[in-house]
Amino acid sequence: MRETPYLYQIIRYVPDLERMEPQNIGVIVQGQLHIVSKIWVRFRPLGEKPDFDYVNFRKWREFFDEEINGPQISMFQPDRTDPLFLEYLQSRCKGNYLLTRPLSIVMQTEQIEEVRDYLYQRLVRSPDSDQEPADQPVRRFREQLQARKLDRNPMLRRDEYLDLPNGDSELFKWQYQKNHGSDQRILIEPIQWLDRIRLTQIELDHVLRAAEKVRKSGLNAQLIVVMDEVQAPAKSARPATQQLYENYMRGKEELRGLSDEVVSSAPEAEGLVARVERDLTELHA
Amino acid sequence: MADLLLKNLPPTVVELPSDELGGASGARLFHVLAVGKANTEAYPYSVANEKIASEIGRALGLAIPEVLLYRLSREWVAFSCFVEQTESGEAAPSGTALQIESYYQSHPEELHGMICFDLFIGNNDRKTDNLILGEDGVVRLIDHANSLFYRPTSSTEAGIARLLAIQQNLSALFDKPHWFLEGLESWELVDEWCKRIEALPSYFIRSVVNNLPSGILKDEERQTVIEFLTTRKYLMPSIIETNLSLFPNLHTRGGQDT
Repeated sequence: MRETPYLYQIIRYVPDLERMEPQNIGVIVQGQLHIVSKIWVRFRPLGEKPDFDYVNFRKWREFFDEEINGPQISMFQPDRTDPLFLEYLQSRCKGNYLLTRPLSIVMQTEQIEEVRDYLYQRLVRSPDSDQEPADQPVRRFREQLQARKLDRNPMLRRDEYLDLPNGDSELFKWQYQKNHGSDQRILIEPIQWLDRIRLTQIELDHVLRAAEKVRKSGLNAQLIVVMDEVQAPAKSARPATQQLYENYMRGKEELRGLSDEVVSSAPEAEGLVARVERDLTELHA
Repeated sequence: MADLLLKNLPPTVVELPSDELGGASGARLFHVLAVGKANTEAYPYSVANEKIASEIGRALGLAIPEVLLYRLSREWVAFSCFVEQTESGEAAPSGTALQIESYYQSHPEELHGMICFDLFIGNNDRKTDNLILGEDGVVRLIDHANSLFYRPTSSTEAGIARLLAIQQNLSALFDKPHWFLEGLESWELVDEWCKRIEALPSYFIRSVVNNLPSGILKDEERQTVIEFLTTRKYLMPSIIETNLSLFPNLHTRGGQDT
């Protein structure tokens, strides 16, 4: 097989500018008149860094994505297939996000994606690395229920109807009876932001309706909504996505008034699971 | 506060504990994070070029970060204080090519201003690398170390010789490509910027150069750069007009795009 030369660069994150100690978080490969990249999408720095600026990481991820995969901007960017483009990219990186100079690699493949995947696995992240925790609250909540085996706890009931004091009834995703004096029912409803717009809208409508019913019925219950955090869609997004985003944000505000708690971050979701576990343990005691 | 500093080192600005400095205005002592450049063998005029260019560009109304000179042991360093950071203290991306193009599409006067300024100060090192899109949506021009006295290259002699060379022939400026020459499209905007350049007071130019601390330029170099700029400020329209072939989208006056 023919040996093919490529150029590559490593994208690096420097958690602490005084210590340097960069971590490799992505690769860019150029050759065969193409350029491709791969970035560790759910990157978290090594060790304890609770103040990691995830928003800035996302900005840099979008920066690389637009520079490499967006439209070619003549006059403002060298041709993407030209090594000058790699030097240009390097000069745009600074501070905590750096790019190495263009480096050479020769491989027996003409598929640039194979080179990229090889470098990514070798230098950034191997596929057998630990599964990363979800960064959205609803998935993190489900994962944590599983991790703590609460999904198998019969006291935490799933997908069951609840009879309300006014004779009405409503379906809830998770519920349990908190029984140390209060006899209060805990109701937990998820709203997950999905690519399938219709499903997200149905979940949102359902939870809004259920919250109103609970409030009207006078049930002694605590309603908690676990709701994914969403970014505003791009201006170029289709109108249905933009409409859903507006509905979602309006619904979120409405739910803050109707529910007892809106959990809208992954750490908060973990905290909620810890509370559920504590409550269920006390029920057994 | 101490925790915050430890997490986010190095801070952009930190106030130092010190005795009261006094004064009715309440002066205090700060350390400020800045990008610094000193003269080197390869770039023997960086400090003077950065300082003179930034003062002139700012006087013209261009968005250029302020340059401060400071002496570290025996060498002068030009510090640029525009470092855009997030609340956590990290550097944010300084704009994609698409974002910067979009800024100049909606602000063609700024693009024309940048090019006319570069032609005035003899700066060939203009590429997207030297443009920073701030969080305020404004594109700032940085890095003017390759203007005026320039640096020695295989085809160029730095210093006074470089000023004389580009005074004689604008093409001497382009031993490396300026990315945006095709951005000059409108004579109306060119004229507006040439008028601004012409309106720069000669005493201001003399003041900028003469206020450089001693040791940064020789007397002869000071005199030559003052003469270069005070003469050139009147010549910009004719320099552009006689070098039209360098600006493919700027047509002859009275032509289709004027």
